Formats: sequence, C-alpha cells, structure tokens
Amino acid sequence: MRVVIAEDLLLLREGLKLVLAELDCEVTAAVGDPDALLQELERERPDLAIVDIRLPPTFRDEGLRAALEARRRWPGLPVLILSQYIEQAYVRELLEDAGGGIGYLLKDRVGDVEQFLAALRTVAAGGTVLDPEVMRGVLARADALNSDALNDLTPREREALELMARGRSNAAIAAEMVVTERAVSKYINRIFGKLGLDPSDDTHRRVEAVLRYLGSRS
Amino acid sequence: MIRQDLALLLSNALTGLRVLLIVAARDRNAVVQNVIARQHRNDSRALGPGDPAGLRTPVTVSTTWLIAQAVLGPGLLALSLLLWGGALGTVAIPLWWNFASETPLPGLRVEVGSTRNSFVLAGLGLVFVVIAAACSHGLPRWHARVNEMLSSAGRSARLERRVAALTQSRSGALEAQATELRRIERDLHDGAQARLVALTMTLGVLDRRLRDAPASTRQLLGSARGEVEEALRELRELVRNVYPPILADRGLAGGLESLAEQVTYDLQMDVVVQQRLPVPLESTVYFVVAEALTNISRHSNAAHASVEVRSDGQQVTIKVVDDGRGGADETQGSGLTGLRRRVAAFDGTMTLSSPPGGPTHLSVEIPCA
Repeated sequence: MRVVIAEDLLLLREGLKLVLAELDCEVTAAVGDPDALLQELERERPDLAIVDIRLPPTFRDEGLRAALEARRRWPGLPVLILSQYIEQAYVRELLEDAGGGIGYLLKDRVGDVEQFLAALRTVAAGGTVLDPEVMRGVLARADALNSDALNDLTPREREALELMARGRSNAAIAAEMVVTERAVSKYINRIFGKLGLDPSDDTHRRVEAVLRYLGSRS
Repeated sequence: MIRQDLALLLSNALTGLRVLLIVAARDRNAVVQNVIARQHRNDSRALGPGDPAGLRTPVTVSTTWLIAQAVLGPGLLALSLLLWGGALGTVAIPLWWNFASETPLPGLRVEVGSTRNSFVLAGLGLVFVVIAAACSHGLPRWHARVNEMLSSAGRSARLERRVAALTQSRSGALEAQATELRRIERDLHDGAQARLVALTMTLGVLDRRLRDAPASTRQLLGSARGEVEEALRELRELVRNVYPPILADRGLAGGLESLAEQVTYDLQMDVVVQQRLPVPLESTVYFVVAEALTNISRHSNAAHASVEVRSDGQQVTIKVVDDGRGGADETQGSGLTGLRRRVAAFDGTMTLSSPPGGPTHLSVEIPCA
C-alpha cells in the first residue's frame, strides 16, 4: 500500500513511518503542511493519505480542510484523519462527503498496530473507520435520549452495532466477537430490522446509516 | 511657564486670603462656595486637563480644608517669592560689587572679595533660579494634591483612579491567564502528548516484533501500552477542561456547536457573535454554557432546552432556558457559584430564576471591553 503522510511533528512523522514500515506499507512522501500534502497527492496518487488535523500555518484544523479539499479534487481518495482528540463536529463534516474511504482515529490507536493495519485496509478499500470514542459519544447520547429501539437491542447486538459503526467488515466483527460470520450477518439483520434501516454490506453506507439514525434521535 | 506658575501661586494666595473674609462676611456660605470654586479652578489648572481630580467640584469641604487654603495659599506664594528673591539677588551680586559695593548688602554673610568671586556667586545664583522655578512649578501641584486628599471629591477621584488601575490590571491578568492556558494546551499537544503517542507507536511495533515472546513478556508490554493509553486519556481530559482544543480550532461558534453535540436532551442553540471576542471572554462564554448544559443534564431532567448567545460588540448575553424540574439552588454547590465567579471576573451579571417545577432561566450579561 502506498501512503502519503501529512504530520507536522517530526517525532510523530517518524513514529508513523516506523509503524507503516513494520506493516509493509510504502511511505511515498511525508510532509508537514497542507500545500505540500496536495502537491504530493497530485504527484504520487497514493492508495491512502494519512493526515493530522492540526497543521500549519495556524495549527487549527488545516489538516481537515486539506483532506476535504483533496477529496474534492480527487473524489474517493482514501483519507485517514489522525488527531489527538475526537470532535463530533469533525465526524459530521467528514461524513458529509459521501464517497467512502474515510477514517477518523485518535493518534493513540496507531499503537495497536494490527487494528491500525485493518483500519488502513478498510479505508483504502473505500470503507469508513471511526474511532471508538466517536461511537461512545454517539451511543451515550442516544441512550440518554431514551431511544426505544436501542433499548431493544441485546448486549451482543449492541456490541455488533458499535463495531459496525466503527467501520468493521462482517469478518472483522466476527473475529472480534468470536462468532462466525454467519452469526454476524444474523445480528446485523436483526439490528437493522429493529432500527428500521435497510441492511447493507457496504460498510460506509452502513456507518452512515447507523450514525444518521442515532444522530436523528436528538 | 514661570509666569503661569507665579500667577497660579498668586491666585491661590488670594483665594486663601478670601477664607479670612468668612469671619466678617454676612453670607458665609457664599464665601465658602466662592473659595471652593476658585481653588478648584486653580487645582484643575495645576493638575492639567487629563487628571480625574478635575472632573468634579467638591460641594462640601471641611474646616481643615479651609484652613489649609488660608495657610497654604499665601504661605506657598511667600515661600516662592522668597526663593525667587534670594536667587535673583544672588545672580545680581556682580552688579552690586561693581557699582554699589559701599552700600551694605542685606542678608549677605559671605565676603565677596573680588570681581571673580562675585561672578562665581552669580553662577551659584543661577542654580538657585532653577530651584526657585522648580519649586514655584511644583508647589501649586503639591497644594492641589493636598486639597484633593482633604476633600471628599478628591477621595472619590483617588478611588476612581484606583478602580481604573485595578480594572486594567485585572483584565491584564485575565488576558495573561488565557494566553497561558492556550500555551499550555499547545505545549502539551506538541510536547508530552506527542511523545506519549510516539511511545505507543514504538511499543506497538515492539509488540508485533515480539509476537513469539513468552507470555509474561507480552503481558508486560501489554500493561506498558495500557499505562501510556491511560496517560493520554487523562491528558486529553485535562486539556478539555482547561482549554478545549475545539475553541482554539474553531473559535466560540465551533466550541459551542461541539457542546451542543454532546448533550442528551433536545437542544436549540442560537449563536450570533459579530466578531471574535477576546480570548479570555471567549473561553468564559464557552465554560458558562458548558456548565449550564451540564447542570441541565445532571439536575433538571429536562427534555428541551435552548441556548442563546449574542454579542453586539458591546456586550455578550447568554440565555439558557430549560423545561426541567427547576429548583436550582446556588447554595447547593451545583457549579452555579463557580459560574457566577467566572462571570463576575468580567464585571458581568448573572441572574437565575428556577422555581420548583421549572422552568429554569439563566441569564448572563458580560461587557465586551
């Protein structure tokens, strides 16, 4: 997998390179600012861009803006956003771009190398990966809003829902829950049935549907 | 300048002498008012236009003040004239030596002796002239300060100056605090937090490379990673409570929007802020709304709430209304006291109406400057 990194802190750029090398990903360019990122994307056309939210010049959300701009220029370009904190507002902005191939993770997650690799693959393949924190926030809110449908879910179904919203494929969910893929399909059909949503195998559309469902309960 | 100073001294002296008229006057109050007006005019002139003491005329004065005018007015004029007389006289010594040395000189104890000496003394006289000029300039000002101290209007002028100074230093302190918090947030982000993240990355790679290591080794690695993740989580929490990153990234509107996304009841948020507020004010508004929203979810059991934040450049108004059970009590340690304190630091006001059974209205007004 060919990857372009945009991260302004040298320490983390090196850390990411180390992890990606370990995972046999080729880092074709590692840059520190949004303009360089767009240039490298133009030249390298990588399989995936890993972008830090906070980039120069103002160290606000330049990375996010650059990522959205890149997606506008090259629709469907897989982008994994990394940040030291999760903001629901950013999740919404990222998901408004309905093309798929989007990820938003805390930088901490990179340390879980295998999971990180799975996330990279999901995003590169056009899937959606969201940090567990995102889901925790959304679910806490949905719970407090007393969503009846959510209360109907069994703990196992809920677990599957969370994993699904994080962008996991059926196979990944099965591995995590230590069940067969067929069992996962059954869970998912039941969940979508209870929530009144159309089941879909496309992870991005699935994540979107679930988040929209939970979000609309407000 | 010297002419003005002397005119002022003379005017003060005459005003001081007027005090004596009180003894003989039929309408004593008129005399007093006259003295007050004249002296106040003189003091304002002495202290210059920018001085707050010039803002208002004292209406009533103490006897001490009147006596002070009678003594200081003529006294200071006499002192100045004496100084000028001595100084000019000393400068004139060569004239006396050359043309009238036979006439004895009043007050001169020094033996002049030669023409050269007379000029040396004249040089000394020039120094006296400078001293006399400085004194006649300074004395009316000192007089004005004394009056200011003696009159009640002076006291309030002093208080005004003090309040102005305190207001300025407080806003400086708030500004410094906000800048400091922002710096801490950035330092943590680029420093300790980044190092810990880098550490998790290294540990992650290590973990993968030691796949086949004994279980005890892997367990140690696992717990090391757990600790680092916990440290990162704690740091994130800390930063969020001190200076939320979203505020730095997106300003007040973005910060409030992010607050709205976290609440668990139906929330109507309406934010109209014309221009970016000063950093300290921005984070105060953010934390006021955050605290109000937390209170609603913790105590009020509301289904609906609304937040309105408006700023017209002059002041910021925050209105938070919820349909919960009401009965919010500031004395019950619900964070409302802290909220009031935050608002008070900006000379803002906070009003809370929360009858049992609701609804609860919280309204905060904070001046922008």
